[in-house]
Amino acid sequence: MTEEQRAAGAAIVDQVLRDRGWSLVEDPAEFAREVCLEAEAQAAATGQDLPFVIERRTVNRYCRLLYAACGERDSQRQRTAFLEIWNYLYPIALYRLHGTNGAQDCTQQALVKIWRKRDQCRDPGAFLRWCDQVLLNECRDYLNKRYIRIETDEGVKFVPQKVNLEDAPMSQEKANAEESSPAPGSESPLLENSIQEERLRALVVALRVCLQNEKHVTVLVELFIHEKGFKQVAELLETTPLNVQVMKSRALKKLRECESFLQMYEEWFQ
Amino acid sequence: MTPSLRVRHALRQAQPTLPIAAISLGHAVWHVRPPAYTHAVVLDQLPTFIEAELERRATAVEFRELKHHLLVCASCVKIYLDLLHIAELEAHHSLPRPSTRPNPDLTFLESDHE
Repeated sequence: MTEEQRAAGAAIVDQVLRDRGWSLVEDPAEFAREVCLEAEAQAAATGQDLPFVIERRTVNRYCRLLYAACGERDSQRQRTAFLEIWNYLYPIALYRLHGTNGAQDCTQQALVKIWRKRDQCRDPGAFLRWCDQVLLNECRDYLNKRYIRIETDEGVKFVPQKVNLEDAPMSQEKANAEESSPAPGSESPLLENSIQEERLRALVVALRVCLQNEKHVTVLVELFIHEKGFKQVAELLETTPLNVQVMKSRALKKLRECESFLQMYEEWFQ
Repeated sequence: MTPSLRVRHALRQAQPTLPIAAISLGHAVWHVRPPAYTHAVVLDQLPTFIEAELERRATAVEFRELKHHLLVCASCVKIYLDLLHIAELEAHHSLPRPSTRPNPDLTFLESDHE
């Protein structure tokens, strides 16, 4: 990394910290240097865009700092850490609860749980994702106890009622889920075993016959055969992970109703 | 036994001549539930997996089982998509910014002494 690149990297680090209001870094120059070193190695290994890697590495490294500060008993750093987590989580609670009144309560409950269960976070570098998980559990419990979710033409509404929401659909963008032109990438999976290879080919043919929808075929091929994640498939199809899940569910339903698909499995198991 | 029940039953047995993809797809189509213990394992790994996805490095073999679980488990995929959605909003600075924030009650930190 040249001096110029190092300075540009340090500026990205500084920007990430300032944008998020993060203040636990004691030696910003050293912090930026370590982030840039880590990012440089990762970018070299993966071919990813260096500024992007610097941004993500800054978040990752700061998460580790935040996680450690949460455990520094009776210190100002510990209070600062929990204040920063509060500032991070509260807008998420507001967003998730759709303007209902419980954002403050849920965030407070989540904060106490984060403090109590901090040791259960397996990956300090993903500490904020773990905090998200704790908060979203609180929000779910809150909504389940107080509201029923109804999807209307104007969007999702929450009606106060004592009904369990466990089975309610979560989709906000369901209506947008479908369909445009077919996407590339649903061809020729490589498998060593010839029987398996043959069956995999038969599987793809059966998907085309039963689904009659190249986009649904692509979703299933990418998820199940190419083992891509929802986010990767969403990027490939230029849609959201939630829409990928909706398309997947619709495709699975069609397969369930397709006689020839069932027959193919029956033959395999004879 | 109906044909779909026969297939479900067979999918639960080891099937060395079937590709993993066909087994997973069969599980997803006919609702063959993953073993109960795997839910907790998956939920534990979700933060790391989502962080890896945000960093576009989630192709590693270590996440293979988690991905398969998400393909067949309706409850875990719901939680995953919810988390991923929030993480993406945060990464793109798209979360709403409230003009005022209430203050947290941090008195729980005092019981740290005990």
